[in-house]
Amino acid sequence: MRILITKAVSTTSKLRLMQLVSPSLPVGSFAYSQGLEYAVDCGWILNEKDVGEWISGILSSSFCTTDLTLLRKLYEAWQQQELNQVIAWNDTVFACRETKEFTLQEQQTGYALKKLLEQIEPGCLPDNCSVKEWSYLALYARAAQYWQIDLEGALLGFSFAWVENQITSAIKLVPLGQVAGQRLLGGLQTTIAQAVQASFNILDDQIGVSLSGLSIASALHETQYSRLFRS
Amino acid sequence: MSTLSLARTHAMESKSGWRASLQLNFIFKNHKTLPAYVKHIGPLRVQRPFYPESSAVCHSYILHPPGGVVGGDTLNLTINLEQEAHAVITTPGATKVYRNTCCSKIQNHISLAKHSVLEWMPQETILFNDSQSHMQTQLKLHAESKLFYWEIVSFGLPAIKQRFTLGQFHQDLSITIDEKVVLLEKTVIEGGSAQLTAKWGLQNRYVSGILVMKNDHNIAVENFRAALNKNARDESVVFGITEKSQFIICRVLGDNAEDLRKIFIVLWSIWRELTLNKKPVLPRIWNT
Repeated sequence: MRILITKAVSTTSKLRLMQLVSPSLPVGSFAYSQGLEYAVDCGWILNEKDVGEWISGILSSSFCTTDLTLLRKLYEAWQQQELNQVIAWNDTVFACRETKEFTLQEQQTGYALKKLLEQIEPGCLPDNCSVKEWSYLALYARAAQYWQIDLEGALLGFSFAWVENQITSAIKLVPLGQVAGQRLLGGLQTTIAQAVQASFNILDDQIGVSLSGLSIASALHETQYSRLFRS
Repeated sequence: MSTLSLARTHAMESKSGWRASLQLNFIFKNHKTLPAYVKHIGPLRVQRPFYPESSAVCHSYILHPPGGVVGGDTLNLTINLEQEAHAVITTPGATKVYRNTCCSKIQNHISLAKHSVLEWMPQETILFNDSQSHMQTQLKLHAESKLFYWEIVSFGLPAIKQRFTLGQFHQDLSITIDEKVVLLEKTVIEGGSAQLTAKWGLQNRYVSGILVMKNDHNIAVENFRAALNKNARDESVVFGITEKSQFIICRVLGDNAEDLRKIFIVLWSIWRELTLNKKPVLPRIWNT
């Protein structure tokens, strides 16, 4: 009986994970290239190989040490019902966003996810909370924990969605064919798994790694002449 | 200086390294900013202050150990600016981190009280190949304080084309305003790693810099951008300027520290004029 219940919970949470990381989640992630549009425009990225190196480089450095580690800290804080911790880590997310556009993306997608969760899961978010602005990371962590998605699954899903979104942007920008996109998505899966595993060993005082080239690309995107993406 | 560096025997270096610390409080009294020593251990010291502008603005030069920084050295600098104090702080020469087998630590703890102003413009830190170091700067700001801050790091020695192929470098910058963390920026680089050459990383450049200006007067970022596009349209550097919360931030990659400093001084002039209503007065030690 107990096994059956556990299995039912795990099936439901797997499906919830698919819902949470699907590109159809109405938070507008597709509108953000996160510096990739500038990198392509100025010739830093020319082809499929460059796209793969750009994504895997970021994935195994700043994405692993900053985003994935913050996601774990937030998930654990929600799980332990430590709202003060959640708020402190939410502040840290914004402190780590290097540029105007990275900050805006966190705010805008965070706001969209807040509105969505309020409607589909009333009671999921705390009432009377002093938080003025939720980061997307904080609310993704809450949704994952609320839907009983295990931490590793939540981290893998978050990484997969980010990689998929970067590839979708690259397909439009470079441009690349759909087959090249799928080849990249397959090829990067080992790096995703490694980044998630590595993030479990990152200590709190290691959070906040940023990358010069990526930050500069994001800053220069603000004034790029013609743009398809919001970041 | 040469006697001092000679006095530093190899035995001293390899055993435990310098444990130098300096705590300075800048106080404001009778319309004058004065540096006051609180604690002082080892070869980290401050020169006699200069007042090239007015007695309210104290130009202060911090001297690192004359022989550079080697393995095991720990340099601990604590600077407190009390209410109304205004300090312009620089270093007379580059801070050199030599090849070492154990990590050198440079830690700066800086706090700014209400209505204080800090302009922090040190010369670059040069990381020799095969050096390990950890630079940590913590800035605790009062909401009504003003900050202009830069850091320039050279990975290897561009003049002789020596790259940073071995070693490790950690850099942490953290800024809080009224106890709330508002900016966290870390760099972790292994010598010879992809990060040094990749487009998302240092792009094969030797020198990397970050400049942070607290933007209390809502200066539009376009003012800075326009000045850079006019004065720094140079193929030898790549830079991006952006704003977040109360800060305007500029990141630059280049091949020598001087190019970065030129860009930062352009931004400094504008910030100084629009934030402090003062003309830029360069630390005079830079001219020597």
